[in-house]
Amino acid sequence: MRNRWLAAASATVLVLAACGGGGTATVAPVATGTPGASGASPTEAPPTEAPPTEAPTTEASASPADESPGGESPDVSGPATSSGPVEGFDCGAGSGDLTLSGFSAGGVEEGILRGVLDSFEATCPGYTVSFEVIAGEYGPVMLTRLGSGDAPDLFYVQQGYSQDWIQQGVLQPLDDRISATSFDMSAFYPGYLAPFQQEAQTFGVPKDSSVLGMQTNDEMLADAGVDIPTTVEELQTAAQVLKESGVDTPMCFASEYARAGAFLHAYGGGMLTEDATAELIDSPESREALDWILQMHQDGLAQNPPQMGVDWCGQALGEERVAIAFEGNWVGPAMSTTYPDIAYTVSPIPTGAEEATLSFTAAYAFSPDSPNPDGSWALLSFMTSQEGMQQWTNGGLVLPSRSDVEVQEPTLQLYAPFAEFAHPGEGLLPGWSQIQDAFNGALRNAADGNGTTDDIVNATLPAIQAALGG
Amino acid sequence: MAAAGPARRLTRWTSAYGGRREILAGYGLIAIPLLLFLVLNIGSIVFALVISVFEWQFRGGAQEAIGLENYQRLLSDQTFQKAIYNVATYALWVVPLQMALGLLLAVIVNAKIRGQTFFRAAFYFPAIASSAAITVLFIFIMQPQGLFNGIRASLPIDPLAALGFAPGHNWLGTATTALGSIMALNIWTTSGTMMLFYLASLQTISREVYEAARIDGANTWQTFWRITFPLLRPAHFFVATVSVIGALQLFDQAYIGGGSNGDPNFSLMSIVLYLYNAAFRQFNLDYAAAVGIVLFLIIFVATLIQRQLFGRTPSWQ
Repeated sequence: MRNRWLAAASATVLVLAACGGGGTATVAPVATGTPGASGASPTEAPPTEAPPTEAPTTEASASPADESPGGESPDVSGPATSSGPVEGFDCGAGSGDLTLSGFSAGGVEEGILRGVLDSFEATCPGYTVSFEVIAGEYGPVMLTRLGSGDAPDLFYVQQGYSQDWIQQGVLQPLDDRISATSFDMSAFYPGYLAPFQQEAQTFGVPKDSSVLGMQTNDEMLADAGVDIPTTVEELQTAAQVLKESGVDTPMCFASEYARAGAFLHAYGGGMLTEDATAELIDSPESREALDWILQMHQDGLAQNPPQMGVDWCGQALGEERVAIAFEGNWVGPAMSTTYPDIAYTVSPIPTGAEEATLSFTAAYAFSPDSPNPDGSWALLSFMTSQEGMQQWTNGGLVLPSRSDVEVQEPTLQLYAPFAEFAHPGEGLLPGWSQIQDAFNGALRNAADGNGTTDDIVNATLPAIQAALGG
Repeated sequence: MAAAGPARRLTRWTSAYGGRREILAGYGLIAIPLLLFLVLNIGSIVFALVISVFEWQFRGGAQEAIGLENYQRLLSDQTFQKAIYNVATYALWVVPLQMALGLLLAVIVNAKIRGQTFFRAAFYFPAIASSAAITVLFIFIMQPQGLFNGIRASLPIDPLAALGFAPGHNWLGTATTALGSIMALNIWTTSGTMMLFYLASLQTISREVYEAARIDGANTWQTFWRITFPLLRPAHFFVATVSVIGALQLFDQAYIGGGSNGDPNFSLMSIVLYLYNAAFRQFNLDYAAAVGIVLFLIIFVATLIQRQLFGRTPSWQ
């Protein structure tokens, strides 16, 4: 008996020593999962940690293109929706087995992706492609792999850290290949491309996009006799009327730049100037927007998800806890599956001084250590070609990043026009995460009543200066 | 002549520790683990030290030597100071409570009671469950409308309300209670492991000592404090060391509970979380390596101090 317990104890010691000598049961960071993505973190809404393409996606969201209403031009939905070859695509001279690595957003998205990959294989018969899902913390896992030279042929790069990855030298500049193959970059929205460019070089090509909009609960607005607001003033009035008619919290407003930034831009402000060379957070416009946001919280017209005890604003909208939410197109699949009975309307973010919204994207990129750079480029240029992106976005989950790709899914069609006035929602320059962290923390405190616009600006400025200086 | 000294020493050594063949066999047996230890543990520490004095790119490697710049920046960084403060507070509470609870459980489980094996398994169970899963569960329990507040509401008298906590208090979402909540979580989950260490040690205490005490007329209380507790001294040292190291390495519970910034308001920021942020959110590999080296030094010094305090060989051995 004694020996058995001694053996058990020493075995435990060995295991603990092997795990790094902790007394607590430590797990590798990779296994912990993204707090936001699991929806378990009380303090962060999913879509910041889990950017739009990772946001909840589910079976019904993958409305195939043929379910969309008629009137689509047949030349677009014809060959592109099938997995057949794309005529006229330049595959180059290479061949081989390629690996595409990315994060997974569920079986539906993977199915759609596989369809596009099949199409590539049919177009360029010399290549076969396998999709490798990096489970858990995609960024750290991929970055360490790239740093050690163990690069897949092609991989996703999220907008939030793209500038940092470029600086770390893990992304291959694409300009030579772009000009050698006359790849048409003019079709991409500049705001979607900018996060993947540094010093006039391009390091990744955006694979798709998502934008923020305003979602309003039809029944609650009708009950209160409120029209859909189009300006910030109308929004405030609408929220007041809703509150008087018995809606405790009219608006769900996540306290983070990835949502609030849309209003900063609507007021004519923002975090940084358009060319990301100077701060804009201390401008009168940005301050006015922050004042307004904090006023909404003070007046009880808006709450953030932790204050309401929900994971994100989509949940608050679906559970009819609020009448108005400001989320991206990823709210569509979540609503149609989890809350199919809630009728809601998608509108642009109400305007202040101008029309504005935020965009989020991820790019395809490859490493300077790519084992088969010709194959990497062939696959990248196919996935981001008009045909490839058409087929991918026909899956109905995300919007295109090219202006020449037609949006066919009915809900996404509502968001598509917002691209014209979208500003990048994250990843404006290296060191973005610190800027965003500083801003979000101060905004959250202020929303809780522990801070003012001054506090938010003063907390954010040093982070911006550090990023601009470094 | 020059070679005679070492040769004689070796001879003395071989005679003291058995034959040369036995020494070779011994080293042969530990060769592989020793090599792994030297490469993976000692090698990593040395490599981290090198990284920390260079500007280091993920792919490009060393860029230029920057000396101790990272260390200077680190020690003057307010968030890092907050992390040290949090982790020190955490260790001061968690280590003694964890040891006390572990010892209590070990004594209970060591007593001859019905269902002994069941209790051993039950108390140890939280330690083997994934800490990520337990933390997520704990977050649900501690929600404002969660189970914990629900139980408080159903009690006739709520002792926590007397301390000023509202019925719907957001335990993990409030800066003042977030760290305390994570402490409670960890004391609960890790005490099972501490119990196991104590239990192993308890069973090495000879029955004769207890018999002698009984003959001398000692009661249970006296037996525990005069016999059991002092004789567990090696176990105290071991458990305290393991517990302190674990506390200083707080990461997963803080990360899952408060996100990468240890929200709210850095109340859950720990040293390892700070390191993680430096490496994978700020992409500052050399700075992160400096954090790792400083953490290593803190743990090293803490362990040395503990060794001085309780680590000396007991006088009766």
